[in-house]
Amino acid sequence: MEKLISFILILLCFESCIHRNKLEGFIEFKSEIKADTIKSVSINRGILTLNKECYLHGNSILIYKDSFPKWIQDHGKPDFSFDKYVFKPFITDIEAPYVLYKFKNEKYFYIIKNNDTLKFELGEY
Amino acid sequence: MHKGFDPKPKPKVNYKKYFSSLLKQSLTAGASDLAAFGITGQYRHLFGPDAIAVSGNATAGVGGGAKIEKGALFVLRGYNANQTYAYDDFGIGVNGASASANISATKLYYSGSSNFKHDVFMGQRYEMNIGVDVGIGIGATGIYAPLSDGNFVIGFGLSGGVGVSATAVDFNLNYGTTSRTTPWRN
Repeated sequence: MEKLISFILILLCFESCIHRNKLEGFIEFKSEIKADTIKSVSINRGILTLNKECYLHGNSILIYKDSFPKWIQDHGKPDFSFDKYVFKPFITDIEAPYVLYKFKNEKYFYIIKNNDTLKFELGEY
Repeated sequence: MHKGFDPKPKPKVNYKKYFSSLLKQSLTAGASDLAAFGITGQYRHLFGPDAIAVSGNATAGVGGGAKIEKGALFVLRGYNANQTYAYDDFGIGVNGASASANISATKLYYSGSSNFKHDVFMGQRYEMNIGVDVGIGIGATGIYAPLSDGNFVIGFGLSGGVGVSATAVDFNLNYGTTSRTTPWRN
């Protein structure tokens, strides 16, 4: 039975491989964004849809030295952790609205919110 | 009677059968990992899944059907390794004439890099269940969730519980959403 399920999943994923093109509008290394105000964010499978028009990987992590603003809420806190849990902010922890900008050919992007400018590293996928 | 003679002959151990069974068991245990590697191309999946979902679920329908599920997601790799998230799941789709309640365990594999977060396992997905329901029910589950970046999550699971079906063999294919029970806590 497990083999049958595997077979059907292979067929489904084969279809996925054929259409394995990323949707257009993903913010990536080459992208350049000039102070875009993000008013709405929705998340599906770890991918953010910004203003219903561009996409960003949710594993984009905040780059900071010693501390980060206290207004950032932890949206990914686990219900239980086998290790000591330490909050590491990701872009998914920032609630809209905010201003996003990015320079061309850089793996970082910036968020301006509550008079703070936050630097995020683009997530891998 | 010679000294040390045992009148009861000892049963012969069929080593060939024993080792064949052991090999089969070990291969079956890793079959889903191997299948996942074949599909995702990620070598890490040869060593096991990225996450395991353990849940209680109920499915019912005649032609059309619905499935509700409540469970815990154990993340084994990525930024949220060793962390557990409670989740809810709801799906609607096509169903045999059956009703069942099961406990299931599903291995989940993400096709992208190992730097993923727990939320790649939350969102829209297709799920298929095939099983036998004759009072007691057993079954297998397959999950497929495409991501808009070209990656996907697949899952293989086994379930057991109680159920009745008009055809003994039960089938369910549904489309739904997995979401955190507690979206976030301050």
